[in-house]
Amino acid sequence: MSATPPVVDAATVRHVAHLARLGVDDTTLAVIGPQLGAIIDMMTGLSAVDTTGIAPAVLAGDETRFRAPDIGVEWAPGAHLENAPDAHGTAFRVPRVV
Amino acid sequence: MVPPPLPYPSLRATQRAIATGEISSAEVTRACLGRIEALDPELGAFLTVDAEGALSAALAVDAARAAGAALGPLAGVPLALKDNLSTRGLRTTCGSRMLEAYVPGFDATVVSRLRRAGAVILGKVNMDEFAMGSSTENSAFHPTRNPWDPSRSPGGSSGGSAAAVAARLCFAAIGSDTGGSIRQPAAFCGVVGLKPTYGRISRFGLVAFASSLDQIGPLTSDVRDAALLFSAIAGHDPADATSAQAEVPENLAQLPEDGRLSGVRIGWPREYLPKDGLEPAVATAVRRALDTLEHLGAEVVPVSLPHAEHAIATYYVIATAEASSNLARFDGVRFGHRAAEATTLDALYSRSRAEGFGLEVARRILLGTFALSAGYHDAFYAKANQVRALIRADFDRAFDEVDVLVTPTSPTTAFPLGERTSDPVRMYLADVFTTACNLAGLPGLSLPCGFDDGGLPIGLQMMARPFAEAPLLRVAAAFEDVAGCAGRVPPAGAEVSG
Repeated sequence: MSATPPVVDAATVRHVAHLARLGVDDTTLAVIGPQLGAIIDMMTGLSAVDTTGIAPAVLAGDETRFRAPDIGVEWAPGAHLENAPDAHGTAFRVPRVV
Repeated sequence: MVPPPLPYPSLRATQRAIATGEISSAEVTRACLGRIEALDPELGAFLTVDAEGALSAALAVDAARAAGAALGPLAGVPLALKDNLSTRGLRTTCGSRMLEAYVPGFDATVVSRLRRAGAVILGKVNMDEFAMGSSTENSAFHPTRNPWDPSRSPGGSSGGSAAAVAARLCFAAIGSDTGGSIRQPAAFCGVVGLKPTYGRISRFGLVAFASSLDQIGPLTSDVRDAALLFSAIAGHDPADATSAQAEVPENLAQLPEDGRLSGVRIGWPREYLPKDGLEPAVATAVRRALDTLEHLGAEVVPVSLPHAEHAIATYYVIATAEASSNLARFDGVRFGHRAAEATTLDALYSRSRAEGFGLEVARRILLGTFALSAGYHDAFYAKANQVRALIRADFDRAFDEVDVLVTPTSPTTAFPLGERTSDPVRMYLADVFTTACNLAGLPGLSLPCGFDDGGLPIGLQMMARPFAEAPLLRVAAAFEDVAGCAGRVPPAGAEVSG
């Protein structure tokens, strides 16, 4: 039997939006909140599946195949700034943090 | 404007003609550009057309041929790229306002391999924003229309890729598939779409949606073209730590012409036929396809995938969780859209992301963040990965009995634009037959197997064991040769010679 789906109210959506650093205005909240609830209801159906003793499969295949050395890619100096919204010297300028 | 005809019906025929000098790449490329100019204002397949770059590449191939230089396997053939593949100096938007002005400084590995093979890149094609969708209606710029019926969706998220190939705006396109995004639009547009085994094709330079599920693949007008294109782009890449070491079979593109399938075992999952929401025309076409495979000499048997009913829920937990992590990089700092006049860092992040992302992307980021959050991680994300293991085990057992699995690609033919945009769950159910293949990392292919009473294409999905693209393509080619569905051109893509 499935577990009871979690309550997805406006406070929950605002909390999750804060975790995601994603602004959600009241108009969007009114639309998206019920939709999220319906989708999470669907996802909650997984609780009825017996997964006793089953190890999670995070990757699609045999994980040992994917433990290759991480080889970096060389970038030209300044390449990282080419799409910068606001560059300052070799840095990205942002609003004051502290 | 009357669209110019394409001089040849396939990528292979075009490549041969260019290699022998029968036609120049420049002439073929101009024909494609002419067709884009005539037909794409209505279809909306392209986001960026790079006519200058394409003609420059075409002329370079023609010059190389004239000088007697060796030509690559795709030399001079124009094709299109889904707009989540990084292209040096060419805008890459992912169908999103977030990246509307983003120009990569590098090529994705797939793009590098295509250029090395001599392909001519016409431009970037439309997609659901950040590959999140099944209809291409989530593109921030405009929807793409189905060449078979412009009031209908081409499918998604590689809808631009599928529509461009179906309307013969190009000879092939490259798409990406996370839960069906190559196969489902291929089915809706009556073309062939191949999602290779996870790890077969480097993801370096593919803007990530769900890193354990994303895979790049070809969309073409027939199976042999798909095999040729796959051969040109597959293989290990040290720049992608998930790239498989498995050898790509030589001569994979040389598929037999005899078409017999004696000794081949084909399975159809009982859980997929019949199924709620499966249109009768689709069910009939798939059953007829199974009969055809039997007549070709295959043994056709039912198999069971007991956890198939949980694939959609499993997929949407895992995919959204991974997406919420991958899309965290879009914060207005280093690239992409930045909100004006944000006075704090937090406001910069939240407003840039709110302004840059569309509703579906926002929805999936919120779902994924929820699934990973404290108090819910075990119940959702960890649980989904356990169910994923069960789904994979189901396929392992099935492939002990059979060589290839056959199912419908989509429960319906192409649905009308606007029909599902306000009901996300209904939209997600379009992927009911395709997501399990991604969860298990299998190779999967869709090819046309018929048309419904309204003349809309029906797609047949075939799946095989990991790294078994060769037998998968062989079975697909054998079916295609007798099914009589390949190469049909929709009303919006008329006048193909050959």
